[in-house]
Amino acid sequence: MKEVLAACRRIWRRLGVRRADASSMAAELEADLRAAEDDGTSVGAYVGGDLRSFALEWASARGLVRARLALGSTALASVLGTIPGAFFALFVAYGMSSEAFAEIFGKPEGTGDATVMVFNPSLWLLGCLYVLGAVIAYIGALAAVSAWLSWRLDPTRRRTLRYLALGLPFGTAAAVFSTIAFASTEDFSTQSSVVLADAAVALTVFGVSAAVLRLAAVRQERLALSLAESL
Amino acid sequence: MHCMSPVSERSSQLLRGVLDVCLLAVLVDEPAYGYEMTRRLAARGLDVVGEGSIYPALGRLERGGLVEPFEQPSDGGPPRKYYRVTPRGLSALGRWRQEWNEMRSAIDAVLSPKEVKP
Repeated sequence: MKEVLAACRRIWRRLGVRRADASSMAAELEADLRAAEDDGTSVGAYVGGDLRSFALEWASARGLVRARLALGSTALASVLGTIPGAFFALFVAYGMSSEAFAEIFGKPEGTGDATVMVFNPSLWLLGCLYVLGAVIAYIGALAAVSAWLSWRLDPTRRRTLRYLALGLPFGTAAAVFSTIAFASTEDFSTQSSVVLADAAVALTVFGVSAAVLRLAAVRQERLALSLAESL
Repeated sequence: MHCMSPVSERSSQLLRGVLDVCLLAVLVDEPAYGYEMTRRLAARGLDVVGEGSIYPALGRLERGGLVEPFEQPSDGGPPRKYYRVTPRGLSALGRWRQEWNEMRSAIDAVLSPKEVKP
């Protein structure tokens, strides 16, 4: 019984149910489970096999599951999700122009001792690879936010993902233009401190875009809920 | 993952649609706590109310103002949460009973075996 009650409490905490409400539901459930046990009914049979659905439905039915903003964590999840795509783009930018890469995939140029291996990818290939990096970052951001909101049993997950799917390309564009604008003030320097600052600008703008989209999704969800309740 | 046969799933779906009215009906005579309601339902033949399904239904009824909770001392333990029907719940029960009777008659008419003309 203790395990069931503890599991329910954990689920309610993830759902953002206030502690007082969770304690009230847990106390009610505990009293009923004791009565059921006294009657010979097992805890599992009484509550059912799907504890997560049980706890979620109960809290939702009582109106205790509110759509929380979680702007910071959503922004962070989206930024973290872009990491694979960002690494891919860094590899295209720096890895493909490295000597080690040219040694493997390059063609020899020059004669005699002056022969060097050179890898000169065409512009269209570079363009395609950067686009691929952006797609990986986009999908990664959506997947990371989806996983995070799914773990939180967030009631606005679907709407948030829809908003992000439509809005993040614009957020990415804003991040790219902001970074270019910032980099131009530094004469497009490749000093590590400037490159880090460039990355910080890009990630900040991207994260803020994700947060704004999340805010819009939650507001719309709350509006839809209040309209449904007033009907 | 909890898996139900098609038949029990249908029964469960049907029950979900009428569980709130059933809970109101068993609460009309006397207030009760959650488990006591499942006992009353079982005593009237509705033995499928396991699965904790009464709690979400009770939550909806409470939220809609059709039942109200109150605490009552229990034997030796902490006070227990009971539910009673509100006047609004009483009028809803009357309305839902009528709806159910009409629906049941219509479905009976549809489902009753008909002589097939050769």
